[in-house]
Amino acid sequence: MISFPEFKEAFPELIGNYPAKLALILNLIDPNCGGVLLAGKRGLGKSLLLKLLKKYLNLFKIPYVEIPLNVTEENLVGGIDVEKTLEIGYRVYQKGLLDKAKNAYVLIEEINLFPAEYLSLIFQRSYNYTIIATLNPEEGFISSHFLDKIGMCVFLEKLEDKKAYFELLRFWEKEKDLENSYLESYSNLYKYIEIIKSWRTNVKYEDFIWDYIVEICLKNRAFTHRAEIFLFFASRAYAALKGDSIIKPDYVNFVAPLVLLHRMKNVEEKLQPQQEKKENQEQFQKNQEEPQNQSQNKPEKLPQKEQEKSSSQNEENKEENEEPDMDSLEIFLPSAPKEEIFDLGDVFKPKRLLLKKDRIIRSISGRRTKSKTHLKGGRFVRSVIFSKDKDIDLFGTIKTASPFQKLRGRKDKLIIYKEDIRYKEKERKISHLVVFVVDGSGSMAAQRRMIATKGAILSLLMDCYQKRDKVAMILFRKFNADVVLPPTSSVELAYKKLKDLPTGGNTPLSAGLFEAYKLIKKYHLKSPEDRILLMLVTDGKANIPIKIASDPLEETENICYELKNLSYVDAVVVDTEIKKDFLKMDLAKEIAEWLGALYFALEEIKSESLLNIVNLSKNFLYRNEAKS
Amino acid sequence: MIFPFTAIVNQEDMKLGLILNVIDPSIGGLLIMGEKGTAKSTAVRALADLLPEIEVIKGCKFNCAPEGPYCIECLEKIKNGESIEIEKKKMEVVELPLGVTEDRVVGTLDIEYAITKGKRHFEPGLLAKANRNFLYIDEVNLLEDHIVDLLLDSAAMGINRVEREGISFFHPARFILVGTMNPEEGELRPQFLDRFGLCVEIKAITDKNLRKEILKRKIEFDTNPEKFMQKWEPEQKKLVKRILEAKKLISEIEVSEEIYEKVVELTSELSLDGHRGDIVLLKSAKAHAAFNLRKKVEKEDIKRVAYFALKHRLKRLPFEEPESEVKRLYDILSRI
Repeated sequence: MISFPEFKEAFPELIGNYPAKLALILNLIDPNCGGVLLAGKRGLGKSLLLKLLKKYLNLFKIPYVEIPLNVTEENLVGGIDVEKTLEIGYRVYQKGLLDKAKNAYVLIEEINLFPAEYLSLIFQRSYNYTIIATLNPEEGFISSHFLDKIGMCVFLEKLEDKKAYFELLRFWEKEKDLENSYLESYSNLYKYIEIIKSWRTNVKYEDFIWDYIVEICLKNRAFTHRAEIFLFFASRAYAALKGDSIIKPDYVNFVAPLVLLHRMKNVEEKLQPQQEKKENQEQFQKNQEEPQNQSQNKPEKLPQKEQEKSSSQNEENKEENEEPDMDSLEIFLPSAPKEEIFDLGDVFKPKRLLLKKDRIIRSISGRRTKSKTHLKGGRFVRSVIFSKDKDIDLFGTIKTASPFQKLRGRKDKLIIYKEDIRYKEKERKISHLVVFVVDGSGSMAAQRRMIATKGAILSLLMDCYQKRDKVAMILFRKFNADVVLPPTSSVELAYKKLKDLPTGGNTPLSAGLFEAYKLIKKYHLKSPEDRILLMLVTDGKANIPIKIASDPLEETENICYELKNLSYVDAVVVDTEIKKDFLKMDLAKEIAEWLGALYFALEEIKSESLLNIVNLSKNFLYRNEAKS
Repeated sequence: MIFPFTAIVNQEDMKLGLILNVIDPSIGGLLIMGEKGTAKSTAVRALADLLPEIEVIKGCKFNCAPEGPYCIECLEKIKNGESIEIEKKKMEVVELPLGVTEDRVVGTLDIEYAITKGKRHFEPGLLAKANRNFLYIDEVNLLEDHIVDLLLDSAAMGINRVEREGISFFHPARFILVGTMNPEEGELRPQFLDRFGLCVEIKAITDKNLRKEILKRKIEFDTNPEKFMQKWEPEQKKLVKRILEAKKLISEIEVSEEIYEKVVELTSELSLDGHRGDIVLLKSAKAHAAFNLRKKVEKEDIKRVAYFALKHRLKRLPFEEPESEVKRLYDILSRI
């Protein structure tokens, strides 16, 4: 019997990251485990691990398919085989990558960068193949529906242990020939996996394990049924890996984090009120403690039952090794969501917003831009018969013409008729311009109001950065309004401007809005495809008109109506008035109504609840688009 | 004729960054932050021109190295037992223009061939041309998002796999990525930023004498390039020799326990994302040692290259002042 080189020793080029290795191995043992999503920030070894897997698959001739980011629909699902069609004279189809992928592993790098249409094609038949993908959460997530179809998800982590760190440096200081190193380790792994593979179907289970699996999933608020299914297969594969003949609750516990992490409700991120989310978290933590306790109670039983013939010393080692690993897994689980909350202050937020953004893009996809420069850009989506842009899709045209070549009597060159001509439909991500209109009047200086306001704007800017929106900023104070920041994609610059924003003086609110109106109009001429979000930050106490001797509020109202009429503009009003004051006037609320804007009091957008607002407003944008 | 590399005045950081990448291409490229007209593209072109020819498989459109990795076509040749001829080729600087289309980057169906012959054929894109050469992207921060995605994809794998318009193809795509940007005009996506091994900041030279020298040399070059080249020939040869020697030396460089300690100390004190920064730091320190024809990495090597390797990887929220972290980096460096 071959003794298994602990799964930690598999893929030796990647140091640490045992959960990820385990996930891959479980999927190699049983493709029913549903695939792995390797998530993590830059430079943690996601791509490396994928490469190593590829090396393994290559070495042992296990079928796999890679889907590169440049893929076209044609190659994904199949299409006309031009060569054969020309030869035979009627349409011959060729298989696409997804057909070839049947019962194979599908490797996808940077899965979150794929357009949603392609993802839906890929995931439509995901039961046919096992997807192993990488994803960098900083660049956005994939929709939870797709996420759910992937069996496991692992967050790669940075090595904290100094020894491991040294090892890593020593390993990588030289250029490596990845293809030809550690071949022995790989063939050991292969031998062992082959044995486990045949063993896995012998693994039995008692009835209570069903209850146990269901319970764990429910406790962790993973309500999708796939959770239970994948968890079962994963546990079975792990039992087989341990050389055991029965699935034990311990095994379920051990692999549960891999399967459940991306299925828990709070990772999925529905539009939930903040409080509920906290409850989830607490609940989740409680849940975490329970299995942990169980797993701590049980290990004593294990050694007796182990029936492997390897030396007892080896056995001990294994147990020893297992302990810290259990720990690392258990710690790893709660820490992953923690990373979402603390690290960037609000990683939760960008994720969710990017999801939303995705949807917005989709609804606009196919929107054409008319200027020449845009014609060149954009991602090719499909070939169409009619298009305004007259950007000919040559390949589509050839495809259309190819079945008729014999009929048309082709000798050498293809004979193409006018009706064969196909055009390219392209799509590009549209961006948003967020125009901040900020009140810098004296009333804002009261009770350090401006500090809170700046904090809020800063948080909003942060959000724009993550979504790569453009920003502009208009400040109104004293007697007029200034564009302190013309539309730019450098949020850095916006931050600098925000830092030195002065306050004091009157409130020429109408002038501020008018300036915004002018800027928006001008910007719209230049980039007609961009959507614009007007973010008005004020207490609404307008007291200086544009025209001398007119009513400032009335003027404001008129401009608000003008702005409201611009179909490409959505507005949000952030009210900075101190609500405990007697003199509370709620003017901003009224202005929000005039603008048809969403209304928030400053208190409501303090960093925590901030995500809510932008989220809602995005939702709002989305709704508006659906209308139009 | 190209302006000689050694005649470029000052801008030592940029020159060093480029040279380190040539000595060890696995460092992963160079991002040059700075204004226009600071000899960025001249330096890249001049360096490519300076370097000796590389060996490629004859007739291969993808510059496959004789020892691999190979493209589909070369693989087939080898499988069929055809003999491979080797030819020598000058290194090139392949430029990726901003308005570039997807097909142009990754390659696509050869339309002309399809129309005239009715057969499918792969037409290589810029990534094919860039294999084992320099890929130069001016104003990389203004590149369209989906093009950046494509670059990320192949930069990560070192292979360009094409699945487009009925064509399946792959070829190696390993290049020295050189990008330039002006940070005022917008940021680079963090993931893409991280793919650049090193990053240098350059400023326009304000010293009067140096400016005069630049002007003099440029005019001299423009009026009589042959003579100018001749004048710089010895310098050029010296540099080539040094680079080649360093390339040979790099596999023998020793790294002492102390240096490892220092690297780990440095990077664990700054909170960096991921491990790439550490690895690049060590690699470029080795390259720097080799460039100075030493067999051992010294603290000075670390000090010299740390800023290049770590500056753009310092973890900070988008609005935090970079200065504070940078200052810390300097503090720690001065302690070493």
